[in-house]
This record gives sequence, structure tokens and C-alpha cells, in this order.
Amino acid sequence: MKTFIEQLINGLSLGSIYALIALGYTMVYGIMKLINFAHGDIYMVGAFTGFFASTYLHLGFVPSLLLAMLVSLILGVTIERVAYRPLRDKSKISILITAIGVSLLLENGGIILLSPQVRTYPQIFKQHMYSFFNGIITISNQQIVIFVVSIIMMVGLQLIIYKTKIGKAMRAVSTDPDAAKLMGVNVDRTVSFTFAIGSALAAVAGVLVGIYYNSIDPLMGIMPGLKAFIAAVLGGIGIIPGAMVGGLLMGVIEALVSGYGSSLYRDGVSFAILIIILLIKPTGLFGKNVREKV
Amino acid sequence: MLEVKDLNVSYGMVNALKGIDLKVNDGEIVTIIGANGAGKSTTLMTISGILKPKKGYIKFNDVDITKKPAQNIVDMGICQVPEGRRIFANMTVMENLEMGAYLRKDNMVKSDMEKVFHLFPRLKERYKQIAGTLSGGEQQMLAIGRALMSKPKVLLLDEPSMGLAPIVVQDIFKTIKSINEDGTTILLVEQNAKMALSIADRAYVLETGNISLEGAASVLKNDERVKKSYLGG
Ligand SMILES: Nc1ncnc2c1ncn2[C@@H]1O[C@H](COP(=O)(O)OP(=O)(O)OP(=O)(O)O)[C@@H](O)[C@H]1O
Ligand SMILES: [Mg+2]
Repeated sequence: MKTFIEQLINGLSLGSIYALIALGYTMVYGIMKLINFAHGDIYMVGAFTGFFASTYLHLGFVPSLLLAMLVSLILGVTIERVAYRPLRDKSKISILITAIGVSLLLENGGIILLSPQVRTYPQIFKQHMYSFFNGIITISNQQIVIFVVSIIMMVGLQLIIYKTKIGKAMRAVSTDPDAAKLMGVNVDRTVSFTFAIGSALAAVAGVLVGIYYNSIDPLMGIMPGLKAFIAAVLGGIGIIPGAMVGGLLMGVIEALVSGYGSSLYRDGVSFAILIIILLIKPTGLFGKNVREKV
Repeated sequence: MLEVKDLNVSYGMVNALKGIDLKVNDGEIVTIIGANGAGKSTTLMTISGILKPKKGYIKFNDVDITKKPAQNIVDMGICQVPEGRRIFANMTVMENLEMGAYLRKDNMVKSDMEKVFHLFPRLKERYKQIAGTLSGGEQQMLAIGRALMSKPKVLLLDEPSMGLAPIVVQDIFKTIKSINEDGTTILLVEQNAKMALSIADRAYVLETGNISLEGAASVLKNDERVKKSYLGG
């Protein structure tokens, strides 16, 4: 029981981070049917910005986080503007290959500019364990930070998407871009906004990972990027609650597999479970076919 | 009010419009009738700024709007109810109507929504329902209501009768007539030539990218060629 709860908490922490990254994949896919392969690298840039902000600028947690969000946001919007937008009306495959190119550029650019060495994240929160119910539940202050920040981000995102005008425009563009244009929506601006939000959330994930695992490097975006992408597919690509649940599920499965089995099998078993879920429900957990009448 | 001159539009190698001229005067109902693939939807999409013509121009109240982006055209007062309705299926009825008012900054949006509900009471009963679960007729009402929320000066309608039962079509056409009587100019594209000619002031017949006939609706209704090709003999 104790291991189970411990691994559950570890899994939810990791899963929150996956979820934050998965949201960016799913939102961008929803609005322009593109898998943004560079998304994992935007997360990496966010982690490094947080690292520099706290190590060299001696900023506190919140200012570092905001700066990381801002830098990733600008990067994400710029990538869309420069690399993807000119190709938007062209074939899907050319834009996909461009995305892979941008990803390689950021990874190798990161290696050149930042050196491939692994950096140690500053201890923004000195680790401290809290225990409840005679030690059945133990949770670290870092995990609490992860939960609190992730919840704030996800609630904020829901508010933007369901309550604001630009959020409604995002949903409209993702169902039918031309119909949205016919209602006066500026599709370019809506797409930029989507990249901005997705990239900022990835930066949050990057900073949280730095705090949680203490180490970052220029290739750190590859594996979490892949897993978050799978989490997005698992939840139903293009569906926002799906990305949240998919990310959490992915984290929990991984933690339980390493807790009870071996961390060697962690990735293998979790990918296998995902394949099984997708075989049973190919549209993902939250995927549904909206009935359309003609 | 709306003036289209020598409009040429093509999709790659396919020339969908080969130089059409048409005019819509303030307060009129003008209809474009024609068979499948004649270029009717292409005409409306070009007016709305979604498609860009190869040649020719479109003027609205003497302002050239040919190169303007779609959102400016909506802002100027031209709104379209597209073919197949294209409502936002996973948003609620209310949110769809709000999308129609996307560019508006005045504070009359709420009262205009009441007007739409007055016109289509069935939408009012279902304002929280997900639009994709509405019946075909209700979706058409929603598509029209959504466009009205932009307070258009000219309403472009693309086959509003498509796929609807005759009795529902009658209702929809009555509503179109009443929208016009309230001061909105209407450009109506239809395959149901009989219904369209019965409410229109003037009509154009479009045949594979060219206007083959035009005139008062009452005259075209009795034209032998129109009778033969579009009114079932
Ligand atoms: N996206 C497209 N790509 C290529 N050709 C197209 C496209 N859309 C329309 N066309 C072609 O342009 C011509 C005119 O099409 P359009 O949709 O304007 O006809 P329509 O009069 O609206 O027909 P319908 O009554 O069936 O709706 C047709 O020959 C059609 O095949
Ligand atoms: Mg058509």
C-alpha cells in the first residue's frame, strides 16, 4: 500500500509535467492538424531559460517561471510565423518535415550554444518531505509545487478556452477554419495565440522538471516530448481534457511499472499499455465522432 | 450595393467562374440558380474573401473589396450562411451565435440574440445544446441566426433548402423573406429554383461558370428555358 501511494504521487507529479507538454501538442494539432515536432525542444528552451534566470539573474521561482514562459512563447510564435505559416496551404507532409527540421535545428543549436553537458538546476526549493497519516502518504515540497502550478495552469487554460473570445475563436478554427473566417475570425492571429499558449505551458513543464530532477541538457526534450505526444494521442489528439488525462495516466503507469517491476521495463511496458488502449479505442480515450448532418 | 464585374475564379486548372457580372441593389432579394458545379458556391466564397479571383473585381457600396481579407468583409457588413451550414458542431447553440457577433464591439449583442431567438424559438429552447446534435432544420436555423448576429447589411445564403423536408423549406424561406423585410439585402443561391424565384426580386442563371440568363424573377419564372432546365418542365 505504501509503495502504491508513493508511486502514485510520483506518477502524478511526472504526469502533470507530461500533461503540460501534451496540451501544446494537442492544441496545435487541433487548430492546424500539425504534429509540432519542435514542441519538445520549446520545452527544453523553457527549462534552460529558467535555469539561467535563477542561476545567473538570481531571480526567484515565479519571476524565473514567467521569464521562461515568455521566452518559449516568443520562440513558439516565431517558429510558427517563419517556418509553418508559409506552408500552411501546401501539403501536410512538407510542413511535417519542416517541423522535424526545426526540432533538429533547436537540438543541435542548443548543443552548440549551450554545450552538450548536463547542467545542475539550482535548488530553488530545498527538498523537504511532508508526511501524513503515520507516513502512509509522503510528499515533497517540490511535488506540491508541481501540483499547484499545474493545476493553476490547467484551470487558467480552461478559462481561456471556454470563457474568452479568443478561446472560442480557437475552438471555432479547430472545427472549421473557413467557417470561422466567415464569422470574421482572424485565423492567423488565432493560430499564433495557440502557439503562444502551448509554448508557454511547455516552458512551465521545463522549469518544473528542472526543479524535480535537478538536471537539464539540450536533448532533454526528445523523450518527454515523445511521451507527451503519445499522451496526447492516448487522450484523443486535439481534445484538451484528453491531453490532461492522457499525461497523468502516462506518468502514473510509468511510475507504477518502475515501482513494482523494474525501471528497465518502464518505457516498454508503458508504451505497450498505450498501444493496447489505442487498439481498443483508436480515437483515444476522449475521442468521439461528432454526428454531422448533411 | 454589391457589384461583381468580370469575375474569374479558378481552382488550379479548373476555371470555375469565367467572367461573371452581377449586381445586388439595396433592399433586394437576388437569387442565383444553377445546376451542380455551376459555380454558385464559388461566387459566394469569392465575395466573402475566402477565394481570391484571377481577374475582375467586387465592390461593396463603391468600395473595392476584392483583395480584402475575409474578416474585413464581415466587418463591412457582408456575412455568409455557407453551403452545408458549417455550424461549429462541438460548441453550444449560444456559443455559435456568439461567434456570429465575433467582430462586434457594441452592447446590443444580447438584444440581437433575443431577436434571433424570436425568429427561431426552437433555438431558444436549445440554447445550451451542443450544436452538432441539432436536427438538420435546426442547424440551418442556427447557421442563419449565427450570420444575423453579425448584423449584416447583405446576407449571402448558399442553398439553405439543402437536405430539408418541404415543410421546413417553406418555413426557412418565409424567414428569409421576413429578414429581408426587416431591411437586410439578400443574395440567395439555390438549386430549388421554384422556391427561390417565388421570393426573389431578380435572378441570375449560372451555367458552368457563365451567366446565361438574368432578369426579374417573375419573368424568369415563366421563361421556357428556365422552366425546362430548372423547374422540371
Ligand atoms: N476545392 C476545389 N478544388 C477544385 N475544384 C473545385 C473546388 N471547389 C469547387 N470546384 C469546382 O468548381 C466548379 C464550381 O463548383 P461550385 O462548388 O462553385 O459549384 P456549385 O454551383 O456551388 O455546385 P453545387 O450546387 O453542387 O453546390 C465545379 O466544377 C467544381 O468541381
Ligand atoms: Mg454549391
